[in-house]
Formats: sequence, structure tokens, C-alpha cells
Amino acid sequence: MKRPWLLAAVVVLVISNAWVLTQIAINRSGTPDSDDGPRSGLLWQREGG
Amino acid sequence: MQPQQRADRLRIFRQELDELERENALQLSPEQRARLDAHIDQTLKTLTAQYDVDTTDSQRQISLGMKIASALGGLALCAAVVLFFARYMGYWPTPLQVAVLVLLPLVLTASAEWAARRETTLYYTSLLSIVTFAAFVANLAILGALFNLVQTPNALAVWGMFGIAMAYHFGLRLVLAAGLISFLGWVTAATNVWRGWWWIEFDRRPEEVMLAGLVLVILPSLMRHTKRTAFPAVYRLLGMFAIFVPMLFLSAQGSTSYLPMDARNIERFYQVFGAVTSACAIWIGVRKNWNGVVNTGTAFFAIFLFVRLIDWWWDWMPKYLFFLLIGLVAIAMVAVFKRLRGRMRIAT
Repeated sequence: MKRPWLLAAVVVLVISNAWVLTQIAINRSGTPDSDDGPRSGLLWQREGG
Repeated sequence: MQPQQRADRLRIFRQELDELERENALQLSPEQRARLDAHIDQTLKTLTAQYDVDTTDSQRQISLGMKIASALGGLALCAAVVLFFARYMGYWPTPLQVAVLVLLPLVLTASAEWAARRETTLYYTSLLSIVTFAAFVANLAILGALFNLVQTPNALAVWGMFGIAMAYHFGLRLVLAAGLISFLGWVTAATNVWRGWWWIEFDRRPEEVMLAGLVLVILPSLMRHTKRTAFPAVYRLLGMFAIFVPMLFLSAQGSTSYLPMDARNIERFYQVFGAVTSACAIWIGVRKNWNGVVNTGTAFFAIFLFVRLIDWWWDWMPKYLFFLLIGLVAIAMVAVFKRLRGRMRIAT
């Protein structure tokens, strides 16, 4: 492998962002039995009601 | 040997040769001198062409200025990126915010690699790498804040991994330091979480940071840095700070220690232990020829000593006498170091 450290840096970038975006997608979809919508979302939207 | 070290040695060798000829200690024939000069010039020319090394004192000064400028420029650009986000990001639609946050570190990483392939001294690469690290920190931190995700200390580990990977790829000490500091933060935060505390309470148990610092100091002895020869000094410097700063904290506030003792006794223990450990660090640094360890050990030894003297004498002693005694202690330290240097000279 020619540039293992650069590859490692890019892998860390991609995986961490993928994980965060997955968490956001899960949170925004809400739970099926919840009556108050998504568990989280854009902060100002939730605060604005 | 690093190319710059070779160039420095050749420059000093030529200066010393001139001096020896002036003192009539060595006389080369004109042919020998011409051949030697031609060889040195050719070697320096090759080193300059391949590695962009400095061959004169003024070049070295300018290079130092460029290094400082690239580090300060990198930090200024970090501030610019963060302030730009803070000012304008709220006006953007959410998908654009997410896209910019995710793509910016990737684009900057590619830019740093592009710059590294076009320069040998890595000034622009260093600047771009610092901004890349800051952009990645902003990426995860702002995304988390934007979508109200639960804060996690694992982000510190991820930043640490990224910083270390970037540092080893480009050979940049400042980015390595940023990565190692993130890891130190993660060790403390993770142990706080395991104990059921809020992870951000870094001052709850400072001894965890000391343990992580000890690992950092030992690591370069276990890992060989044949290519990145300047990196072990960064590990040792950060490790020593991670050991001595919590020690200073504990010498003033013993109640946060793990040690099963009365708080006052813990403070006394760390007051003595700090001075002894820093003295040991000086001794090890002198034996191993680690300048950074000697300087850091000396600085902390002086801090531990002066903090103690202030604690013991400041309140009851006349101030002129206090400062006189501080001056005398400093003179005694200079005398001790002079003797130490004399012994080293005999040993070598």
C-alpha cells in the first residue's frame, strides 16, 4: 500500500461521518409508538414548537 | 540522517576548516581544497534540489519565520472557518449545511495532499493540515449540535485517530500534538463515563491523565520512528505535561486523588513526588541526550520548588528577603547544572 496513513485518515473521516448521519437519520425518523414525533431534530424547529 | 542536518554539518565543517587553516592547524593543498569545495558544493546543490534545505544562516532564519507564519496562518484560518460558519450557516438550508460540514474536511485533506506533492518543505501542507483538523472537529461538533445528538467522548478518539494519521502521513508535529491531546482527552473522558460521571468533568480524577501521559512518554521507546525522527520528542513533551500539570493540581487539591490517604497528606506527597519526578526526568534527559525532556523537567522542577517556597515563606517573610532567597535558590540551581554539565563533558 502506497499511502496507508492518508487512507487511514480518509477512512476515519468517512466512517465517523457515516455513523453521525445514520444517527441523525434514526433520530429524525422517530419511533413507531411515540406520540411526540421525532426524538430529536433541528434544535430551533423543536424550540419554536 | 535528515537532509537538513547533513547540510548543517557540511556548512559547519567548512567554517571550521577555514578556522583551522587560519590557525595553521591543518593545511590542505590547493588541489585538495578545490576538490573538497567542489564536493561540498555539489552535495549541497543536490540536497537543495531534492529537499529544499537551507544552506546559509539567513535562509535558516527565513525558514523559521515561514514555519511560524504557516502555524499562525493555519490557526487564523481555523478561526476564520469557525467564525464564517457561526455567521452565515444559519441562513443556509439544512442539506447545504450538512453537505458543507461533511465535504469540507475531505476537500481540505485532498488539498493538503495536493500541496504536499508540489512542495518539499511542506509549509502550505502544514497550514492546510491544521485547517483540515479544525474543519473535522467542527464537522462532528456542529453536526452533533445542529441535530441535538447526545454528546459523546468518542468524538475525541476519532479526532485523535484522524490527527495522528494526518501527522504520520505528512510528518507534521503540530498536527500530531493536536491528535495526541485529543487522545488524552478521550482517555480521561472515557474513564469518567465508565465510572458513571459526566464525561466532561476532566478535573474529577487527574491521575487518569497522568497515567495516559506516562503511556505517551514510554511509547516512543517501544515504537521505532526511523522516518519521523522528530515525533518521539512530541510524545515525550506532551506526556510530561500530562504527568506534571495534574501533579501540580493534586499538590494543591489532594481531595481529587485516588490515593487512600488524607487530602492534606496527598498534597504533601505530590509536592515531594513532583519535585523528585521532575529531577528524575532531568537525569534521564541528560543521560539519553533528550533536550526537550531536560528543559521540560527543569521548568517543572523550578515550578514545584517555587510554588513550595511561596507556600512556606510568602506570608511571614519580608518580601525583600523572600525575593533574595529566590535569587539565591536560582544561583544554587545554576551551580548544580554547571557541575552536571562538567560531569557530562568528562563522561564524553
